Parts: sequence; C-alpha cells; structure tokens
Amino acid sequence: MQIGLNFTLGNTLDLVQRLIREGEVDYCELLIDNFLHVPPHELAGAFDCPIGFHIMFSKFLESDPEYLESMAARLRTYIDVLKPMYVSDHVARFNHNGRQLYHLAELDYRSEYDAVRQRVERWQEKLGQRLYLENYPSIMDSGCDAPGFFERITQETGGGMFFDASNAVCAHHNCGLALDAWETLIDSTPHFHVGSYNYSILEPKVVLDTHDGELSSDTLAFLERYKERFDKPGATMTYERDVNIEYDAIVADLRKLRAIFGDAKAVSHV
Amino acid sequence: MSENRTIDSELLDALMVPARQADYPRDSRAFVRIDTSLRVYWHVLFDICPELLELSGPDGLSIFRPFMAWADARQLSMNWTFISGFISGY
Repeated sequence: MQIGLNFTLGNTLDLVQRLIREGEVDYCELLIDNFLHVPPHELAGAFDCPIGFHIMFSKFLESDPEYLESMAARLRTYIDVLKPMYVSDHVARFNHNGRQLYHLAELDYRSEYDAVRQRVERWQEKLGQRLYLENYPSIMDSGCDAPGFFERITQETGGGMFFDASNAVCAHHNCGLALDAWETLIDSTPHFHVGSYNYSILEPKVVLDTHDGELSSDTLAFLERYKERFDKPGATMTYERDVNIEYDAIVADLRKLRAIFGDAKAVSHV
Repeated sequence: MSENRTIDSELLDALMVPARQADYPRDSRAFVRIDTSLRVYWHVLFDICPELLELSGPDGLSIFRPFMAWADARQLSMNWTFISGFISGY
C-alpha cells in the first residue's frame, strides 16, 4: 500500500515536501483545481514523487458543457505532463436552483441515476482517461443507496470507485449503512481516501467529514479488518487533512496507516 | 415516499433558509443536517467580518437570519459574490 497526502493549498508546500523528503509519504495527491495557475512543468518539478489528481470544483454533474470542455482541456495538459496515478472527482451536489451549497449535498441515487451516468460518461471522455468517483459522507438515508449506485455506475461507465473509507464510516454512523456493504467496491479499486471526522454541534449528533484531526479508532479498525481487500498492486491510500495541519500529528496518523498495511517507513526519496 | 426515510435531496430547499429548519423536528437528523449547512454560511459571513457580531450580538442571528431570508427572496447565488451581496444590498 502506498501512503499519500492530499495537498490542497500552496502554503503547506514546505510541509508536504518535507513529508516526501523524509519518506513519510510515497506520493502526493493534488487538489488540482487549486494549482491550475501554476505551469504544469513547474508543478511537476515541485514534487519528487508520484502524483494523484483529485478534482474538486469541476461540478461535472451540474456545469454547462462549455465550462467542462474548457476545464477538461486545461486538466488534460496537466495530465499529460504530470501523468497522475489516478484522476478522481466528487459525486455530490454543489448547487441548488443556481445557488451555491457550502456544505455539499448528497444525490438522490435512485431518481438521478440516468442523468448522472450520462454526466460521468461525458466527463470521463473529456478527461481522456478513467475517472474515479468518490463516495459522499452520508448524513441522511440516501446513503443506504450509495453502494448499489456506485457498483452500477462503475460497471456501466467503466469508471472506477474512489473509495473514501472514513466517508463510509460517517455513513455507517449516520444512516446505519453496514461497512460490509462496500466490500465489492473495495475489491474493485486500488484507490482510497481516509481522514478524520467530527461531530455536529447539535444533538442528535451526526458524524461529519471534517479532516481536522487524528483518525478515529473505528476508521482504523475498518482499515485493519479489510486490509487484505484494500491492499493490492498499485494501491494508494491518501490521507486528508485540511485543518490543524501540524507535521507531527500528520506523521503520527501516516504511521498508523503504515502499521496497518505492514509497510516499513518509506525509503527516502532524496 | 412509502419508506420511512428522509433523503438528503428532500432537504435542499432548507439548506440555506433558516426559517425552513423549523419544518423539521428539533430532535431529528434532518434538523441537525440543516443546521450544519447553515453554520457554514454563518462562518463565511462572520469569520470574514467579525465586527458584525458587535452589531448583532454574539450569536449573530439578528443579522444572519434576516440576511439569509433576504438572500433567499432574491435568490442570491451565494457564490463569490456572497459578501458583496451582503454589503451592497442588505
């Protein structure tokens, strides 16, 4: 299992490069939207390790074709130069009636399947390579439809599952979806995400995908229980941390992941 | 819907309209989910301009709730123009 870090903002570049240099991560995942102002060769030169792409704001399920064509053209330039291990995007709702949702919403997987499938096929075609689709950290009961939705859409579009293990743990807590329901999808893909969650302010508490602290014990137990399913040739496990970005705390979590997957501390890339 | 379940898309109309939160029981997951959404808008407003809290009181609600109702009535996009919409219109 290759262990990586999701790199979202330029002001953490020194931290990410140190993690690479000291062998704490094997690759770096770029939230690529945030770096499209950096020339691709310059971006490639900043990382002495393999790269993954995570797309945040294509909003490919909602955006108009002209915007997606333009964004895909820009992304393809970066794909050609950086040759990422994978390209992933979000299956979620970013707007409602033209108004921006600041906390993304979950699809109605039953009624929206056909429209989403068409969108996935088009976006994947525009990107020119397999598109990995990330599961949403469900709060409401729509989450129970997610595994069946992702199984069907990956089979019918040729896309891949980008399985966020901690999002599945959120869904388990919030809507009672068994972690076992994801087995087939975990088997189907080599690319994974993991991060911390936290709790809502109000009662009854719901579990929120916050990436603000250390990995929970139940997330780690999930990875441990399924480690043979997660680990496979070319597998990647990207650790997400967007808040409280502290080197030692991140390293502690990265080493917990390495301990689960039986990897010795990575050899330095220097 | 025949099943006793609430899906996320049923809540869309309430996710940025504080008054709609009261459509759901206070002890329900839906209420908390809407609250979680509203809090992000709250932070985008008051984290950028904390001085507003001096005008509104510490919870900000005397500004936040009418602003969000006003924004809903005018269907503000709530995109990058969010703050300028507040400054120029409200």
